[in-house]
Amino acid sequence: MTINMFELEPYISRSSPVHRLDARVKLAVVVLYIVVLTSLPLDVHFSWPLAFWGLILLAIWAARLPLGAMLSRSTVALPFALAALALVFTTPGQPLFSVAWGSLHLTATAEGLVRFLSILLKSWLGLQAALILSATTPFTQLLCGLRSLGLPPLLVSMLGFMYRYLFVLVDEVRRMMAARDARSARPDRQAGGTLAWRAKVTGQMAGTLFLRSYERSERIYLAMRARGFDGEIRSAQQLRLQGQDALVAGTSLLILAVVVLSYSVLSPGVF
Amino acid sequence: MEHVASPHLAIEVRGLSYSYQDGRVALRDVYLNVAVGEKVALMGPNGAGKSTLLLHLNGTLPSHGVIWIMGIELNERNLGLIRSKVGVIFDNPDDQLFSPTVMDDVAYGPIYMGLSPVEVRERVDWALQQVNLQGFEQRMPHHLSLGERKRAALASVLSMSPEVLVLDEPSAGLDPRGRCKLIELLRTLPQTMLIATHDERLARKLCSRTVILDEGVIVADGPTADLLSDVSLLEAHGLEGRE
Repeated sequence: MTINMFELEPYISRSSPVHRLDARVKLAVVVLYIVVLTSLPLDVHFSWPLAFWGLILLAIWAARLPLGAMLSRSTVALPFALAALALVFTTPGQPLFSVAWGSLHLTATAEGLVRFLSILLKSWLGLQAALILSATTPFTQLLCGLRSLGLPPLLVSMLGFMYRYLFVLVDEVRRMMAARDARSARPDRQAGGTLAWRAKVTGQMAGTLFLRSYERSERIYLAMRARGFDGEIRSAQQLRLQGQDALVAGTSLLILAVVVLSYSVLSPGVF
Repeated sequence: MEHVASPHLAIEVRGLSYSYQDGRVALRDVYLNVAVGEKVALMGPNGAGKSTLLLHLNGTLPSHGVIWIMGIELNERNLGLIRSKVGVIFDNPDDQLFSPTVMDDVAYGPIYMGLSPVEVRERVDWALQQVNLQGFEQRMPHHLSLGERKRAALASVLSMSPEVLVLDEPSAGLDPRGRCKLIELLRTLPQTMLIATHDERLARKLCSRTVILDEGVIVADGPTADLLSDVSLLEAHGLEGRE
């Protein structure tokens, strides 16, 4: 039942050109990719999803990651993108269809649909870039990279703690759920209790978990103080840039520049 | 030949093997029978596989047609029924107590089983009385002392009136008085019990039979008094011998 690192980061120990790259280069490339992607205006040539996804597929191939697993992980973006669903009905423009909901009359527009799809695709693509980053870079190296690229030490150490105690939390959740299952007996095939009650129990479990984590964090802080912690986080890991890192960084910049230029040519006046 | 479960056995394990995800073997072909009404101690060094074995008995860890509880085969379909027959008490009471009040935790099992509110209340009162926690209904579990939490965890299982109790290190961390009270309490309960423990005194006072597990294999199975006076056996398997 205990979680181990393999469950959280199954592809980390693989070997590929991408895995061997310096974490800072990977970070910079991913951030640049996401910035360029999200700043694409709406009236850019319609082939942009293909172009940007092509880059993703190229990276997945270079990193020797399993395409199916990466695709299924990327679906976690969908529920969040659904928040933009309202745009379909609130953007003015050419009406497509109408929906009546009680006293509400909602009209979907073509412009709204384009906006919604654009947000959906951009978040999906951006997430895939981040997923490739996390699948090829051990978290501790990632934190090192973030620190050396300028993220404040406090934030970096918070992320480090989150990672460290994620395993503890997951274990605790699993054991709580196992305890709940163990007391969920159905001697007559008909389980008692209403759905509302079950939802309440789940909510209470989440609350209990939060309280325990909060109290644990206080104990951790006391332990750190006892070992001389003074507020400054110091790390022992060092990153070193190599020749291939510079090559990849340069090439990625070049590719993205080419993409941006092509789209400014294809859709003049847009950039 | 298909195995027919014996009606006199509360727990029947026939050839249980289990490996962790990373390949480590936890249990190797374990055979264990516990008769109805028997109280058996399961001893062995840390990492022997005791907890792993216990977690199989209510389906928390998967097994395939090798475990019978009160004559019923443990499989995916029967889990609901099995869990009404066997109650597992984990070594860390915090994992077991997931509700905001003691009352909620003890009432969870009976409510889920579909009992009426009156019956639920009766069960809760009875269970709390058994473990001597009357008046603790509205207390928050994680503000109780370790001994009180262990008793609350026991009550949360007793309220379901299972026929078999499986306990993982019930006396670990208890002070001498707490341990005494626990042994007394367990002695009065009629259920069949399988108790994983390091506590030699508990094993002697409570269990007529002891099974020793080491590296996933059962290395000894016999009367408690005999096993616990065999110093060389105990020392060979990471347990304390009498000096």
